[in-house]
Amino acid sequence: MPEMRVENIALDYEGEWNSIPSADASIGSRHETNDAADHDAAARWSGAFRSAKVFASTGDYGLAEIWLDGKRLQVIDLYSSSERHGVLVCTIDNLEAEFHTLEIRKSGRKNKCSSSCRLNLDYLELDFVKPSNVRYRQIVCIGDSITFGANVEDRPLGLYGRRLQSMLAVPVSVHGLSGASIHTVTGVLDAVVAPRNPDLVLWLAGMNDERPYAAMVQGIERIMELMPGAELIVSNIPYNSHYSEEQNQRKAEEVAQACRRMSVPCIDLYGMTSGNIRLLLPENTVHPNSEGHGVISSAFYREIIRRKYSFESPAEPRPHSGR
Amino acid sequence: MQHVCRHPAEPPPAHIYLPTPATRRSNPMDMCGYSHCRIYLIGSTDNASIDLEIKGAPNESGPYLQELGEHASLRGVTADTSFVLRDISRYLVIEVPRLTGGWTIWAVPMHLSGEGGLCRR
Repeated sequence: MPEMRVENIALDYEGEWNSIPSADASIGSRHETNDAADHDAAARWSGAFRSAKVFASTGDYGLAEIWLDGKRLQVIDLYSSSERHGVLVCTIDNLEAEFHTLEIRKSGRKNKCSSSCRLNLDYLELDFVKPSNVRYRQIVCIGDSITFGANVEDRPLGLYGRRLQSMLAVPVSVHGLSGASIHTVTGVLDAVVAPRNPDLVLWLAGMNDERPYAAMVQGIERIMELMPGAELIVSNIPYNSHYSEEQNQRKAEEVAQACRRMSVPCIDLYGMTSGNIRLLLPENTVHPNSEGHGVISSAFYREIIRRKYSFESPAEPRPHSGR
Repeated sequence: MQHVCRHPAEPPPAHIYLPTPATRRSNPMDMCGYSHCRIYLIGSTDNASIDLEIKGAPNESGPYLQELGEHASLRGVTADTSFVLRDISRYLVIEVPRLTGGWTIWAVPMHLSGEGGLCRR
């Protein structure tokens, strides 16, 4: 199974963290706690993996606690005399190849040379294994040019659907229709999705609809009609610089609204990626690049795992600053 | 990971590709267990015109070579049309070197009568 990167914006957060834009961060941003000597902040990732690496900044930082499955494994001193980013600060090997929860917690303590207790997280690298509770036979990804991978250089391997196939060890069939509205995608569900007999459908929707609500409700109804046994997880759009903030928020919110009405889970990809233009390079319009597809795959993975292992992530305050 | 293709009596798992100036090469289309494929070219505007190459490979990463038959390379298509490709490769990609207007391209795998493809991967 592959070692894959989970970016900081895909983690669950507890306590006060800020997204800090930085050109030398993995996807142009890191997550950072405040300076205070408290232990109220934690970052968390749950999934099936057998090794984990934590990459963070070192410099004027505090002590981080690494917890695995509710037990403290080690304390890491993130102080260094000069500031460095993307440093491998912790490796956890030889884990049982099963479900784990990894936490990086602020300890509220620091090296005597440091002036701050803050933490700064960049990304994780995880050696994924098949999650025993995820027993899908076939997953189908459907959507528009984002799902197609219009800005992904290493198609098809870099597509979020193909990354999920590696992360979950389940066949994933990817069908993205460039420029297609939700109505157009709905019109091909019978020919493209239903014959593959999926037990999970992932639908990233809304970029090509000004007002996606009504079409999204119809699309969900159509999936329920054609594939009554299939689960469905929807994602709203990723952040983009092509449409105005008002347009984007309307697209994202109406997809979420339709999902709420139909009792279908909806990932807030727009909130997760808000303001991150690095994910759109080099095209710089509406299509996430390969790094962006990495974030999308992590977001879907997180939702799938959450449903199959029946746990709730903490409320996500995600205070964004500086963008 | 093992997957068994469906019985030929069931609806074929179609692929659809909407080429744009920014996406002139489709993603690989898995034709697992099928020996034939019907391609539908449907233009959405009056002045639509398209050139296309259909390439195949035994594995997803290629290299992809032009499929067999007269329809594997088409120039100057201006009207809706469809045709059948025979003896197709496991994976197909469609390349569109020239494109005017909007086009929808369907690739629908087919069994000939008596065939019952079984594909394990």
